[in-house]
Amino acid sequence: MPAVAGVDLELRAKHCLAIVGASGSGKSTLARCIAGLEQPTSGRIQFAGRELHAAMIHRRIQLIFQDPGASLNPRFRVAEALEEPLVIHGKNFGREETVERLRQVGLAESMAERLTSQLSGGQKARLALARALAALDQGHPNILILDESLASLDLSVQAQMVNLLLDLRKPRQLAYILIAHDLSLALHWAGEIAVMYQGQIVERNTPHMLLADPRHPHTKQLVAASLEKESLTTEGGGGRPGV
Amino acid sequence: MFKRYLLRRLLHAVLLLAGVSVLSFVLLELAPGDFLGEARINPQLSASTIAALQEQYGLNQSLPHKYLSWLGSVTKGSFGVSFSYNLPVSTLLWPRARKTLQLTLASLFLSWLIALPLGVLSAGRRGGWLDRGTSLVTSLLLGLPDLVLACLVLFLAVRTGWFRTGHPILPITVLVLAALPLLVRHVRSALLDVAQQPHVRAARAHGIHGMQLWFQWLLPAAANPLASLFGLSIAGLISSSLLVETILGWPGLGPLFLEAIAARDFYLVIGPVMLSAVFLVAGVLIGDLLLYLVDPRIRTGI
Amino acid sequence: MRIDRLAVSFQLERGELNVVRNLSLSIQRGEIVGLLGESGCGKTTTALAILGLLAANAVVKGSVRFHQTELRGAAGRTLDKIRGGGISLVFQEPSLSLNPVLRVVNQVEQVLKAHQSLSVAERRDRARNVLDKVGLHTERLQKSYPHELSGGQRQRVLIAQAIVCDPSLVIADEPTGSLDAVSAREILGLLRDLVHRLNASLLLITHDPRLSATIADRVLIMYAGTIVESGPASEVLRSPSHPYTRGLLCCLRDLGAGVSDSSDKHHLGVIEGTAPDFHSLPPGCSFEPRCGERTAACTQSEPGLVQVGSREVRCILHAQ
Repeated sequence: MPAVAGVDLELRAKHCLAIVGASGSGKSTLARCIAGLEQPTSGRIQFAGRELHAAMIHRRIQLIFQDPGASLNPRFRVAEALEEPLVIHGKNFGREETVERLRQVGLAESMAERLTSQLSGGQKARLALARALAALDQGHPNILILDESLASLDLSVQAQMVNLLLDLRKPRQLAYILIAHDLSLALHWAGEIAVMYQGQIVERNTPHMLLADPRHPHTKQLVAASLEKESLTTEGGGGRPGV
Repeated sequence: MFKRYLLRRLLHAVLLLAGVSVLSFVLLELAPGDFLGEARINPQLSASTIAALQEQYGLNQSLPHKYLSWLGSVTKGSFGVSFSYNLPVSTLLWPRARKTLQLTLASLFLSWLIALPLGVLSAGRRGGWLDRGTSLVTSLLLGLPDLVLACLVLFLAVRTGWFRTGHPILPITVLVLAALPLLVRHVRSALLDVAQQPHVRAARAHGIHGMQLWFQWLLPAAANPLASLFGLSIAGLISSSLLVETILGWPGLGPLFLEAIAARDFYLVIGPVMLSAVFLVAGVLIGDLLLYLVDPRIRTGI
Repeated sequence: MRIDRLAVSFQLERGELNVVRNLSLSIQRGEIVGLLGESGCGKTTTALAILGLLAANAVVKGSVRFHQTELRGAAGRTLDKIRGGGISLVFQEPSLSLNPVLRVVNQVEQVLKAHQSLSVAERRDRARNVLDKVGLHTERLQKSYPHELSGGQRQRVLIAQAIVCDPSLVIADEPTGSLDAVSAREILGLLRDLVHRLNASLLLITHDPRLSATIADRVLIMYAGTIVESGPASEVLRSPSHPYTRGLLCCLRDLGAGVSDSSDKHHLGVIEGTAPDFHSLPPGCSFEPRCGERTAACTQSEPGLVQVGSREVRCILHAQ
């Protein structure tokens, strides 16, 4: 049964592409193929003009899963959770470097000794981000794939994470692939949105055009479902509401 | 669907048993000494007699040869020959196995009969006097080896004269007491575990309580670990009573087996080992089948 | 239902943890009320406390009156009748809240069995009827096991179980949490329709203001275990008074407004800091550490809930 059937995609450095679709549309499978976690039955994935082989993939492309907290060993301390997996990649971090990396994602030094099970949802997401970043090679353009990683977070925390990711984009030369079932976040920070339906990309456009003129019926469904259209935002959109 | 599952498991079982038999043969062969060990140091037997005996018992054959001829005897139903008794192993095994099963089946039945309600009640009133009392008793029993239990029971029987020493109630009591602690604890923890699960809480939120909650939600959810446990109980039907039988003088497989080991009676040792292996495999299979029947997720291959 | 000064605390090894503090609310017949708050603010604990489903180490104080009955501390038998019969609860995780070994139609029947004495055929009939109402029409679907259904379908089964005995209040705790956007919309619409048809009330617990905006008549904003603002949904969500509510809606507003194609995305408005730790709540207003409009007086004592027009606000700035 094809999960992904004939997908062509292009992603430029430091851009953000969002892949949006309902459950079962194949978007997670696609993400896992790009991240090297699954082998496509056919077709090619090229990075910077070259095919990526297993050893290289994880240093250039990282995937953060839905529910980032679930991939953390609850018995580890935060510092360990960051350092441990990297030993496999042959990277050994000293305490100072670990603290610095935590700071970059907004986790205070005092967090380093806490158990991962004691972290809040937002803090776990930040830690997952730090781990992914630590595995990527510095000084090269890299890709970070977020597979519905932000959906389980509270809205205010999502907002903080989005800001963090935007801040990190230039310094770390990151391109983002955001996988989501909801258009809201995608509309905000994706440069391009690809709508997936039953394993194929049925429409692809900039957020503005997608909202203004959705073509495919499924896109229309998504736009309708994205509660942006609700009367909530009728107060002149943009700008802080006054007291 | 089910037939395929069953066939597959049966095939595995057969392969497993084959493996066990080969391993048993090899290990026994490697063990020092053989049946004629004592005979050899007997000054009254000449070397030629020993040689003739060796020939007769087939002790000179190579291991593969022995194995294959044993397999042949299995198909004929004799399972090799006992050197000590000069009889086919099967004629010795079956009556003894029957006696062993009388004990173990009775204790299986009784121990589950007691453990289930006890575990349920302990879990139901967690921390209550029954729970704590049971916990204390089971800890004590766990600490006592079967050997000590058997001797205690024997001692009591002789002292009070309530039962004669050959009465089956004695070994059954020991076996039940030996099996209870683990069973009760497992039932209790399985139920405590289940009571925490989200779908049980959701059921309570719908107003489901009492017997309905127990029979439709709690017990089926606990069936998973309990089914496996039951399978293991069956697996131990042959092997769990060996020591107890020997101490209490019950004419089951135990004394026969120990005697055969001491005498290096090769095929008479292999016999009970294989029988025990069969029960083990059957027990695990039954556990898995029970699970299959109880949990629809396994049925549809999730 | 009327809740008066509800307080829930948990007895832990290191002391007592107050999770719900001084919470009061009321729900009229036929109303849809949204209880809005982020993770850890105590909203699920409140729902569980109403039905007496908290763990043994929970200490519940205050009053929960439903129709004329006091639920807090009520006997098991009284509560059993009310759960599912008077007040029902739709849980968050549909995949975890259904019995894995029963077919879904049986699960609905079980709820009926617990509350009403009907014949087997009548039960089967009603169960199939209600499953049909929630969108599971075919016999095949109705006879499936939970693991054979999708997330949205499982959520529908939960809803079916919740309404089959005609409750007068349905509490839905993040009913669309694990669903994709399209299913979420459908489920919300379904809940609203069903509740209207039954002339029942709905307490929708969620962290997403957009969900409340879609169907709620009134909304209650919860923060750190207590209500900080409440009022008609359209008013509160369009022009919020309390700084926390404003911060929350700010994040959203930017999300809605910031549809731009420039590669230079602007940042979202955020609420600085993180949710408070119940072990160490600040003296005074619990939102004060993160508030952009705080004053010295805010650290003195926690403000009371003050009526301001059609709403209530717990903030010094609105007390006058």
